[in-house]
Amino acid sequence: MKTTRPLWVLALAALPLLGTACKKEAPPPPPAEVTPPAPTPQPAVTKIELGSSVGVDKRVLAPRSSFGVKDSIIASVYTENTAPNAMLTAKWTFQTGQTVDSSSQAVAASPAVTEFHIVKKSAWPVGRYKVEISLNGTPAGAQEFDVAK
Amino acid sequence: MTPDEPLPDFSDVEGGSSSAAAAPGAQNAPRTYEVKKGDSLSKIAKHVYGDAGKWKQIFEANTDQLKDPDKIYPGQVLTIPDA
Repeated sequence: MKTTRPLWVLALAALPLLGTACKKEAPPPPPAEVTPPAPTPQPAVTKIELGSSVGVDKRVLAPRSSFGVKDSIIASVYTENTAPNAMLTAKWTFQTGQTVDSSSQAVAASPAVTEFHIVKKSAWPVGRYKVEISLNGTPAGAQEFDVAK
Repeated sequence: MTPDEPLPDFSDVEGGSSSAAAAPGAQNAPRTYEVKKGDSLSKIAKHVYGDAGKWKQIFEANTDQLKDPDKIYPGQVLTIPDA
């Protein structure tokens, strides 16, 4: 006896295939590219140099870290990305912790070089010194140096 | 210093400051000195390096504009080599 499957059985059997075909969805759109905001350049002290003389551009002419007892001592501070009202402060200290001098200076248009200098009528005490630089009240760098006979 | 030594006196220290705009990349540019009236290379070397004997370094760095180390003129801008 020849049996034939009814059409509805065949259709039922084909349903999963149909379902698969229908499930084939378009690929999801690529995620929207989120461009991170460009970082805001931060004001910064990029370099501190010590010497005994500066050029008209405020850069020390011969950087060094050792001075004589009669020398002028100058720190050239390089800054970038500073606002027009930026303020630099230099605090000079001796190895005992004594403050030798402290002064502040408004920074010229960025980029800029700012010089701080100290002179002493009598001889500098021999020893180790440090100049600490702050930018707008925030510590931004330091340099140590020696005074020797 | 020993603990018994008096602290040094810094009351006669004078400080000051000034600021100037810089060209981009100024950190790596050659250092320059503008000659003033009464300058000599040995005087500049003493001023810059603390050693008048280093005048020859300055002369050798500026042979493009100096032929005689005894002849420098106010307003000349000399390159100052690192010590």
